[in-house]
Amino acid sequence: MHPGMVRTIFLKDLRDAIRDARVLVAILVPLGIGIFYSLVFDDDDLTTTTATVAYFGADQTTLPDALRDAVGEAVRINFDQEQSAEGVEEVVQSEDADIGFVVPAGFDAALEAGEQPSLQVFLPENPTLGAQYIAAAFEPAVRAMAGQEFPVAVNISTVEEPLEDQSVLDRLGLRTYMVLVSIVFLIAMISMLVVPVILAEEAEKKTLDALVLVASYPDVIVGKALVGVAYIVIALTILLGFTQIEIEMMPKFVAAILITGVALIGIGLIMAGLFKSANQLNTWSGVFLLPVIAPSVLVGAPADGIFNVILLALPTSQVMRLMTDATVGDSVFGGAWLSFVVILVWGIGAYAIVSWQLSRRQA
Amino acid sequence: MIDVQDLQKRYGDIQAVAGLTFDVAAGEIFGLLGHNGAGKTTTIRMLTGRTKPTRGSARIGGLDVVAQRDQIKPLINLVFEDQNLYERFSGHDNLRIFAELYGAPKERVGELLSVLDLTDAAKRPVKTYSTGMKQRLLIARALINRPRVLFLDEPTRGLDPTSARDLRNLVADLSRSGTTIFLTTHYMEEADELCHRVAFLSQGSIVALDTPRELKLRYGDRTAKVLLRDRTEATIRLDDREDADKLASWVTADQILTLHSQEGTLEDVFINLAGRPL
Repeated sequence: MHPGMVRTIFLKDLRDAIRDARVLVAILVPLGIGIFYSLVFDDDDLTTTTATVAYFGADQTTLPDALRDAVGEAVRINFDQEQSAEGVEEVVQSEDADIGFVVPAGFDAALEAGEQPSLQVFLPENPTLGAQYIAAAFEPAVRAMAGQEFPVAVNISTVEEPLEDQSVLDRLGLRTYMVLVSIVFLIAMISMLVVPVILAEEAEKKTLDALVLVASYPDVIVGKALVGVAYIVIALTILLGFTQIEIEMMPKFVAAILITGVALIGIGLIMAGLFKSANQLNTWSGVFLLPVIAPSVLVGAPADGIFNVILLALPTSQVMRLMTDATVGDSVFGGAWLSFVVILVWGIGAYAIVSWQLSRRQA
Repeated sequence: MIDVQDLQKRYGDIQAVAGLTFDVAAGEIFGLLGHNGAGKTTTIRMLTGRTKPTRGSARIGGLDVVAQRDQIKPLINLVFEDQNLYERFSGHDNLRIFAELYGAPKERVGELLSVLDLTDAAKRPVKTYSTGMKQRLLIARALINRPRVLFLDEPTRGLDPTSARDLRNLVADLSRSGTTIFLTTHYMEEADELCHRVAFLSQGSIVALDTPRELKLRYGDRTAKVLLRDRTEATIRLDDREDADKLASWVTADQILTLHSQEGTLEDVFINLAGRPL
């Protein structure tokens, strides 16, 4: 191994590969998907109800605050203040709001004075669960505004589901979960498409022959593997920077990704030797990437028997388990050492096959 | 400089190279000629360490091409048959990459671009180069480490006559400055003009090896072209008894206007030895 030659090959490919549209797409697609998911989804409990409440107040009113207090955490309210009563009715009618109300002038003062002011509430024909809940909360809300005591002091306690009974989605939140799946997608695309395309193109264009006239095959392989690692690090930094997901154990998170990346690069290098051209490899990429990425999505799903054994034996499901644990900062899945061992075994096996392929090439 | 002893290469049932024995002196231009599939490229692959021989040995500069491959690498280089350049990089960057790999000084890049008349195009991507320019860049790359042995695999294929002539002149200059040249080519005239010695390869074996002149004298047809006073032209085979008698009678009768002896061509020699044209 010649470090100087590895460096030259690494820098050459780092500059050159990104000018190949196939490589650029392979990196940008999972990056884009991860960013897209982080914008579309949020990490709220999937059972949380939300509602948009439109209102118009002729003057200042504390009814929205009283309503929010009355509803508590059961419904997450987004208030939308309109310019007129007609505006409130319109947004409810167009389903841009789940429910709406119009507060007349002097409402708060009338309530405090013990009067019975009127309150117009607009409810759609088929109200959502949130709208129904809010409609029922008007009474306790205005009673509180009027200073009336509720006949019963109701004490509501939240009973949390035991951690071991919570699903991966519950622990992570949907947004974080989807970003982690995107990370697995990113690692797989770079390791098993970008790196093999780079190597396959060298073999196809016979520039590999020129390289091995001076460098050794291990120099070339290590140089290209480092390109894959570099692209993973760069893309991951962009993705995490953009999505701002919170990771409790960053060293474990990064170690899991890098070790998996290196292992999958080994598999990618094997594939480079199996296809005659970079275009052929690109064409068939969908076929072999899907079974690599799919296990990561199934992690945490109920799985018994042989199906569970298969999942445990695959590197992408193990990296998903490690990333989940590292993100939550807890042993959601546990067995981190076993996960690392599984990934390392895949890597060692892959590079052993790569060495054998190289020895056959020289024979 | 190059010493080959019973070099063989077998791929399964196919004997690609059947046992080559030859040597090449320092500064010599040695040509290896043969049909497609005769074993020329396989021979070069073995000599440059990219393929291991099945049997036999080869030494370059006294170093074994298998056991001491790493030590040989700085001494050799190769102009490939295929124009295997990095097309998205500029000509300058193509040379810079290999200068770094070989540990050659950066100045060598500019020097070679100038010698091979590529300075003006140096910053352009190689994909914009003509075939001739790409071939010159391949040669520049092969000279980046000032090799003591330069392998040329079909170097003038696809070149226009002017570029081919310039390349042959360059090869001759390199030989005069002490570089050993190992050349494969389909062009007999090129081998005849350039090579100090040629070897004919047929079905993995050398069927003849000598200087082009000796090969032509030994294996070529000896003929003479005769123009008679009545403007009749005739070709006389000097080894044929009847033709020799005819020639003698024309000489006696003072019938001959002009008489030119003709050597056989290398192509004739190859056909005679290999049974079919190249």
